[in-house]
Amino acid sequence: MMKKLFLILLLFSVGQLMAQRYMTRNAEVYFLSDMDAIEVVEATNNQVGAVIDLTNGDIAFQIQMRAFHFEIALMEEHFNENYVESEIYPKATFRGGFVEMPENLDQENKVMVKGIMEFHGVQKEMVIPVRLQMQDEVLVGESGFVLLCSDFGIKIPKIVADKLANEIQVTVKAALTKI
Amino acid sequence: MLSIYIVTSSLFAQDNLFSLLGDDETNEEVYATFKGTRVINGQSIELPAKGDLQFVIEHRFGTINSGAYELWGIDQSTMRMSLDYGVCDGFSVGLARNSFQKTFEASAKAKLLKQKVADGSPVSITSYHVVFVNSLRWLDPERENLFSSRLSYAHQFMIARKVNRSLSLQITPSYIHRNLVETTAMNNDYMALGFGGRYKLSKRVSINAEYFYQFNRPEEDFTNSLSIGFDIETGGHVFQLHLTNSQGMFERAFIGETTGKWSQGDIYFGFNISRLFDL
Repeated sequence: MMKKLFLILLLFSVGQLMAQRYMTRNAEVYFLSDMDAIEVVEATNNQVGAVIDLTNGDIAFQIQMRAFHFEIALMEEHFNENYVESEIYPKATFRGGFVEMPENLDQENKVMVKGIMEFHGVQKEMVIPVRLQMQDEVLVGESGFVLLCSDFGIKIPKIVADKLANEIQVTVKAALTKI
Repeated sequence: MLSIYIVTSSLFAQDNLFSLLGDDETNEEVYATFKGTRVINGQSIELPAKGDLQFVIEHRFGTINSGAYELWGIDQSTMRMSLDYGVCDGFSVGLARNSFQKTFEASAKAKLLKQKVADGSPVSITSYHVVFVNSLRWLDPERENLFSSRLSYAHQFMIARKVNRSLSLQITPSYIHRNLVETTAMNNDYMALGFGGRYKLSKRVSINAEYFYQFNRPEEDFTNSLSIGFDIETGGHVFQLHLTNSQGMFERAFIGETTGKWSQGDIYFGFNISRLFDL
């Protein structure tokens, strides 16, 4: 298995010697539920992995659900145990690419990214706006979008339905360095 | 043909991107081995998080075999109220009052070892230390009565493993000391081993069971404590409903002084309700 993987890796690394890949393991994903709801749920995960390939515009994000940390310990427990079920679905991923390649990265670019979000075992195609800029060899990206719990099979029980929001505001910040 | 190549190669390229990220599972601590800080009567490895104040109110009604006149035990009830506060991560202190023998409690609980998801400890270990103060009037006010005679202690180590999402198991070596015992036949010190577990029936409901085996017990009158019940969680509350042969809700009473026999229907219905306040 390892041998095979190594061969494949070798093959592609030869094929993509010219690849311009940027990566981080410390991207930040922050989410905040609708402020109008009674229980405001917010959490931060700053151990998110991200890779962007500037030659072909491929993008990959990998999010460990257990690394979301909450101010209230009980909320973190309920998040993992009752809502995202992180023991069954330990991670969320996004794989996609730029709809149009960013032009001049020395200034701020607003680009759209299209891809598949896999979260809570459900895959959904999404188009997400991203701001991207190269700052001192570091590719800095920021994005904000809305997720609906109901789109990803996350059930909010009736007794707390008027306290918890279905709409989740997600903010992503990443600073990627060349590999 | 070429387009197939391009598509597959770009697909592969993305898998390749993920392989760059690796599959590094975050080696987090296991959470929610038990829903509550008690399995049923006995302590679980869980304790309130830093800054959380937990209020628990518990009732044990009379024995079910007491008949219709006592409404199968509902007419009689003993209660326990407790406050536990998470001082810092993995350490809490508590105060409680039992109507059973008018007993006050002061306790400390510390998490010594935490089970990890991947590498690391396969179990969580928490220690629990409590002093009980019996505040009943002296049986014989004429004799010299010392305050220390009112005191008894319990020390326990809870060793638990969350086996999978649903099943958690715990063993609880326990040591209990009574400064004063009622008869010379009774021991001041005794040891017990507790067995507890929970199995989740759904996301918010679990079935729990607990048994304490007492080792050096010369008294024939006492039995081992056996309890079975359900945990129902609704947000900040945990409701625990159970059947047990122990009327006392503190360690010295249910481990060492249980008198009920399941075989004779000396079963107490009871519940614990806990509410967490985030301070």
